[in-house]
Amino acid sequence: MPKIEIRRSNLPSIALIATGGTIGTHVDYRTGAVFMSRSPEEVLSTAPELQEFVNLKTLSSPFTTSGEDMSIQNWQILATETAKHLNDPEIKGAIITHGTDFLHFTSAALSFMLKNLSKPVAIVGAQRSPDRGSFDGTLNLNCGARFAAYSDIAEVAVVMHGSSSDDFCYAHRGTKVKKMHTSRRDAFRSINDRPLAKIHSNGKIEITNPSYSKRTGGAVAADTSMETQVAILKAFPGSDPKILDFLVEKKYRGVIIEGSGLGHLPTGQGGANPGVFDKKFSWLPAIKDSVEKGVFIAIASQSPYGRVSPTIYRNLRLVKDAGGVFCEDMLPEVAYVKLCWVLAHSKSHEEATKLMLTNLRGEINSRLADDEFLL
Amino acid sequence: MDYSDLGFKCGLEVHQRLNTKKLFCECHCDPNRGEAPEATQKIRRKLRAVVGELGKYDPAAAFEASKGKNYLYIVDDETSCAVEADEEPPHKMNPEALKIVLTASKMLDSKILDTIFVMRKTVIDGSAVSGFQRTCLVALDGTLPTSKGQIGISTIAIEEESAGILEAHSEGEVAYRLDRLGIPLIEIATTPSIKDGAHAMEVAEKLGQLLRSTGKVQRGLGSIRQDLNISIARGARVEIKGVQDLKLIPKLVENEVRRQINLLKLRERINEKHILLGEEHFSVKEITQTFSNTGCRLIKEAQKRNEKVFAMKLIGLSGLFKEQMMPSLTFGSEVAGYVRSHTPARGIIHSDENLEEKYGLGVSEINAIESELNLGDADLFVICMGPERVCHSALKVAFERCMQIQKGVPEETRKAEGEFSVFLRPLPGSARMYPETDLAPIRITEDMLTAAENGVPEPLEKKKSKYLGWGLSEQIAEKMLRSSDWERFEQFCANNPKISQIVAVTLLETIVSLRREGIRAELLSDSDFQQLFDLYLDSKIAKPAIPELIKLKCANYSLPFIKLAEENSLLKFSGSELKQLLLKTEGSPEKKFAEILKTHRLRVDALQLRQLLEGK
Repeated sequence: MPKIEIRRSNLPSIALIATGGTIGTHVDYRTGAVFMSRSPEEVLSTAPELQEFVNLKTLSSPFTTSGEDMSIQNWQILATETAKHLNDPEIKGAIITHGTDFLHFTSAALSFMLKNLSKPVAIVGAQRSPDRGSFDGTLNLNCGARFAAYSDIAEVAVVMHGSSSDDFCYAHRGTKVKKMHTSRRDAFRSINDRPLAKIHSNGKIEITNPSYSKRTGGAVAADTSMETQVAILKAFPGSDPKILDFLVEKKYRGVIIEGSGLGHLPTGQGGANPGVFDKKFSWLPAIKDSVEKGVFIAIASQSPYGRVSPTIYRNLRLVKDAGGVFCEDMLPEVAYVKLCWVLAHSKSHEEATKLMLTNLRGEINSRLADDEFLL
Repeated sequence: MDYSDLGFKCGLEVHQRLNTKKLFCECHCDPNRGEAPEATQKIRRKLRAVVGELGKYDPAAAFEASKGKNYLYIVDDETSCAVEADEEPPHKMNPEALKIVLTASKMLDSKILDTIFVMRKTVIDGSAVSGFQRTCLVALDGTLPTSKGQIGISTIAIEEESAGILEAHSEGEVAYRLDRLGIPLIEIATTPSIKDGAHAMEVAEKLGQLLRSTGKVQRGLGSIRQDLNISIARGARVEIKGVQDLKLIPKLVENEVRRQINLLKLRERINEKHILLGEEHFSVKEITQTFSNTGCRLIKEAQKRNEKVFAMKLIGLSGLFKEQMMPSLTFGSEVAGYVRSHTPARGIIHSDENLEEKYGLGVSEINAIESELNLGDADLFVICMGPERVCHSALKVAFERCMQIQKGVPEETRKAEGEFSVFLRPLPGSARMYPETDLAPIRITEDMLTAAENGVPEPLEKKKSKYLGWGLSEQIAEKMLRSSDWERFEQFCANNPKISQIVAVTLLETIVSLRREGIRAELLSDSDFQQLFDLYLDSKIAKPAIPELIKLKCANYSLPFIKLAEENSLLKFSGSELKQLLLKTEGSPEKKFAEILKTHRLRVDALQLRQLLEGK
């Protein structure tokens, strides 16, 4: 594989951390498919022009895996590695290459784990493999590097194509982004927030969201403790809440339940004439029971956009009264990551609830603008 | 020219579009049917030069990348989807298209592989959105009988059609339409055993006919492409792409052979003169100052754009650029073609041209250039205008092309232009194919082979005998074999061969002449035509009424033919009605015949009338 020669220059320095993903694949003759195996230098060979505008002070690769194979432990390793490099006073920011699947889980995890983040962290991936001329990772790498070196946005951001063309990328806040298409270059979309910045292919950085933490000189700490016994469940017509009992039996400490719409769960009490609704399919007893046993039940929605509410409908109030905590406009994936972090950083249910409902890293947006839907 | 003496080698490659959905998605496009749909999307992309699997740059890929172009893709959602836009992985290979290729493979007596693998062929001129074209080898080692012996068919492959280029959109941006991207192509490559130009034409015609006989190929402009690979001993393999008119092939081949012979002669002459061209002889001088008061329009325009003028000297090579490579192509125009393909320069000017007449340069200016460059009598100079970087590249390219004379004939890809050709790009290297990792290999099963065998049409000679047996004239039979109408022709005549001549003439000639009058008879369906022919079979109409009835049907589609015939007095006269007519008409039998036919041409069966007259 071609390796790029790393030059030293007086340009702003950044750290590149390669963790795998399509952006770092080769053709695997064993299976006939693609396989994640590139070193950081090999990743860089797909964007040789990077060194025209940044100095790559450090290159590292704590592990090489696919997006879908990421684990909580890998997040912790990555956060520690990132903080280490960010605390080098010469380093202006970090760029992490990552698989696109579950990339938004990692961006949320790093957002919570990097305490007092004072410099930009860009996470980039690619939807097409680097063996082809139309590889989209090149623009993402270039824009991510510019974000890390030149922006004053001290946030963890997902930097990926903003359209099907190769004309610009968006930097999406790491706690407000989701992979919305299985294969498009512009699969990543900001949900319930505007993208932080638009980074043009010519390098221009345009701030598109005034609400962000600005760059400072402070030290970054990796606060990586996580509760691992947390799960995400989906409620749906015919779903059996016994699944929640099962998780409680298995000593899970927290569950995010994706309800419908405003955060509804089946209770059988939604209307005057419920037709056929077998009482055993009401989620209320299971929620009450699990909360009593000390399990944190958080409610999010299967509709990615919008905010949940504990009050609008009767069913919602019933769930709230049973102990469910409604997670505002957080994506279920982000609520999950946050709950893992919160449960490891709180000593009581009350404390955990307070933390879950406090905006720590931009994950809760108290003002949803009317034109922020389907951006 | 004795081709075998020259060590002549020639192979043909044919690409034919298939009339099915696209190869790797559910879209369908036939660029020759209907109007092009409205564009719904514009996508802008850059393509990168990628190192080949073996760690090497593909020279053709590096060449295109060095030009630094942006690509604009025009999409309409009737004929292309996310797969064409490189936003969705390919679907499984279209089984109908594969079947047609398997059938053609059987017809060419080739060995079909038991498992086929889709590969990616690197293409970064923008005509493949993903930067590669998907191609798949299906069969090997077939044969095609010709008048000059068996021709080997080395490979048969199935692959995707590329996107169609629109005129260069703007400086540095090339636009393509994605509608035809992905149409399945069958690619047939012969061994280099073609004997001469006439033979090449015969092979092209035979392959085209074979493919058309399957009934499953697209027709019209661009639906079939022929590329020739030609070399002579001590020459080099040159690929000539896009041969359009088969009748021009013999001349095209002859011109290429001539060009190679002339390049070899040029090399000898240069060697005799002991002129050595090396990198160290290349130097460029700025001569912008010479033209402060020029009468040359081209230079004046360059000055308006704040561009400069540069020159270089070629020692001992005066007359080189005048050398005729083939009719209509001098070595100078060859070099200019290289410059235009490799760089953004508009072209070059050189001292083997009549600079005063052609460009309006003044004698004093020419003298000044010669003096600046310290030009000797046997030397040649080349000028380029434009931005400094561009001129430098252009002159370097021109110099390198001249250096190549010492090697003889460069391997290259040329574009056919009638019976001539022009340089297109360097011949692609071999580091350009690798597995298509999104798709699994395909087993060719017994069932697939049986289905392919069943798809083999009757051999053309057998078909022709059948048609002649049905009563078609030789000329019409040949025409029908070459047309795309033979399938429905056979349908209409299968049960009633006696109407074959009428059906054939209607499909092949009547429709064409009606189209010239602005009547779109091809819009009539097969069942419409069946109705019409049935009327004839039932003796309700006479042959001459057919074109008229088609016209009427096109204007009143909802009415059945019988009604149109009734309402427009087009029903054939019965035997007794004819007898009546004969009685009423005066004159000799010949005169009666002529008179009746003149007045009632559309309603009279001439043969029937003749028979009545003779019976009388």
